[in-house]
Amino acid sequence: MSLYLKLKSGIFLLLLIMTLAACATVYQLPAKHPEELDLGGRLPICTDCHESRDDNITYELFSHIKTWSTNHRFAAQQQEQVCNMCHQQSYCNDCHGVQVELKPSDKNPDQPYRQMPHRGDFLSRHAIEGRMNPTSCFRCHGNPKTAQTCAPCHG
Amino acid sequence: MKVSKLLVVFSTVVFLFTISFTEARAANISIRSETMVRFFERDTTSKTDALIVPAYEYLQFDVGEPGVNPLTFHANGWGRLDLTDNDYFDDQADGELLYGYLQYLYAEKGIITRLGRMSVVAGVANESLDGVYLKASFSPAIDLSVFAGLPVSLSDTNGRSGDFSYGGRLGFRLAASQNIGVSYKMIRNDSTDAEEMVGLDFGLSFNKLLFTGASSYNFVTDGFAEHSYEALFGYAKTHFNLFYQLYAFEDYFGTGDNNANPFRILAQTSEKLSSYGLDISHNFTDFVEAGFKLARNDYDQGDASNYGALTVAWHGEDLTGIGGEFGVSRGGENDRNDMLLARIYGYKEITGGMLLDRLSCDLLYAKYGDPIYDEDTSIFFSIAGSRKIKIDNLRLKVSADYERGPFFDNDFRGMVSLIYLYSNQ
Repeated sequence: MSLYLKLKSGIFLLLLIMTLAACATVYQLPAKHPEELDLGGRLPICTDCHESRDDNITYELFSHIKTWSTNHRFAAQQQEQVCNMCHQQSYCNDCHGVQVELKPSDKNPDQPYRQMPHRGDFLSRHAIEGRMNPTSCFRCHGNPKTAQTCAPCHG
Repeated sequence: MKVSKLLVVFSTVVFLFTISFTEARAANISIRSETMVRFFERDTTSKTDALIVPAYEYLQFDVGEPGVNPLTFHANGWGRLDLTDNDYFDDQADGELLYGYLQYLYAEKGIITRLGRMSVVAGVANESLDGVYLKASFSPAIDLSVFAGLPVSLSDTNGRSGDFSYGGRLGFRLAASQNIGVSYKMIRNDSTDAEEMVGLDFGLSFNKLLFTGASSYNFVTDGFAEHSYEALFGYAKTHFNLFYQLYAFEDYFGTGDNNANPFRILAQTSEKLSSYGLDISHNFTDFVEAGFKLARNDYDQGDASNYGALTVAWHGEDLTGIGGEFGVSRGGENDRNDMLLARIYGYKEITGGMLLDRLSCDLLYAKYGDPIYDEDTSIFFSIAGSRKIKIDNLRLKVSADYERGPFFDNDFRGMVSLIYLYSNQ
């Protein structure tokens, strides 16, 4: 199939999706969390105010418990718009940006309450943690651009 | 970054901004600027212990507010200037546009469209893309997100000719909080398939018990890459999370051109890793919380390892608190994976402080079972302070770090940052 034909099919598909969606009546999550949360250094536990779940959100899944930094993948995969109610993309980009030179803990040394995996002597630790389970490294450093921080030693 | 590339990126941003300008005149414009100057010593090709002083600018620019304005524009990027002009950063990019996109949000119908450079998170896709994204709901039970464009991750690999990426996620809501999603992504580099994955993700809730997880299948290597499942349970102030993950290295790391070392080497092994364990988090009061993690990694061929960690934290009403972490890992030949970690940190808001209105510190100690470059311990200390400068939206931040361990004898680093927030409303 030629690129022109692919583009035409793509545009047609997008228009069809938008038309069908425009006819549907669906409850939509608010773009922002309805209340301003001023938690200081505390992490938000959704179930402190909400039930475990309702018709639209599984609040339990989004509670920022102590291990949230390593466990938020499925929540973001399934309902990214819940993340967007409190965070802009720039917040996620501190760690997940396509090419971010500064480690999150170097960029934000005044936020020790946030879980950031590269604190301290990570140069030594990453060899141990990488041997134990390299899959967590791959999620953020797994493509040619994000792996440029690994390139000086790993080629 | 080459000049031609910068021009393309700049013209795209200007183009998208121009489109949104009419909307912008009535909308909120906000800018976040973070200017940082770092100081540290490193060996370069021409000098030992050369002073390196890079200046960074992180700039975020938003026109309009999603939910208030249907059409909004968002951009974020960074650039670096080496003030000492040595060769330390010669092989690295001087900056990157992290995102710059125009968004149309039809809130009542749940339609989101984005055009430009963006991060896409949808099932198996977690990509940065120069292209288009659309998410729409057809009914309370079905939603669809699709994306297409040029993969940013491959922009430096054989140029962009023949590069293309597309995919999406179809989500089904079977009942309240019972979600299942099927997702797909294809990444082509230089007209050859770099990566092709299909995934199934789910979140199924039964009373207070939640099962969530995902499986992904690699079409290029023809095998399951990953199965990751979690069971979450909240009771009173305690949260439990049982997890199980199974990875086949050949299929998980085997993402063709969209991969890099050291993971390419792992993709050539037939190793399988299963990781499982338990996370418990408990809030003793509104201000005191503790967490406990226990994990085991079992390899088909390699050595198994275990990891356990305990965390405790106290928070005050304002930005004040202290916390600590203690972790131990065990396993591997010659104690190679044996490690002990201890960390203490604190932060305080200082009301009426003359010099600073916020102060924080962080101390981290590590002991390694197998010495690295004849050193078996490392210590890291960081102290940071900041204060508002006359107006609420300007903050000056100063920090200093000290590190000693296998890679550094006595390493001192410093940073001065100026954070400026602007909003026209």
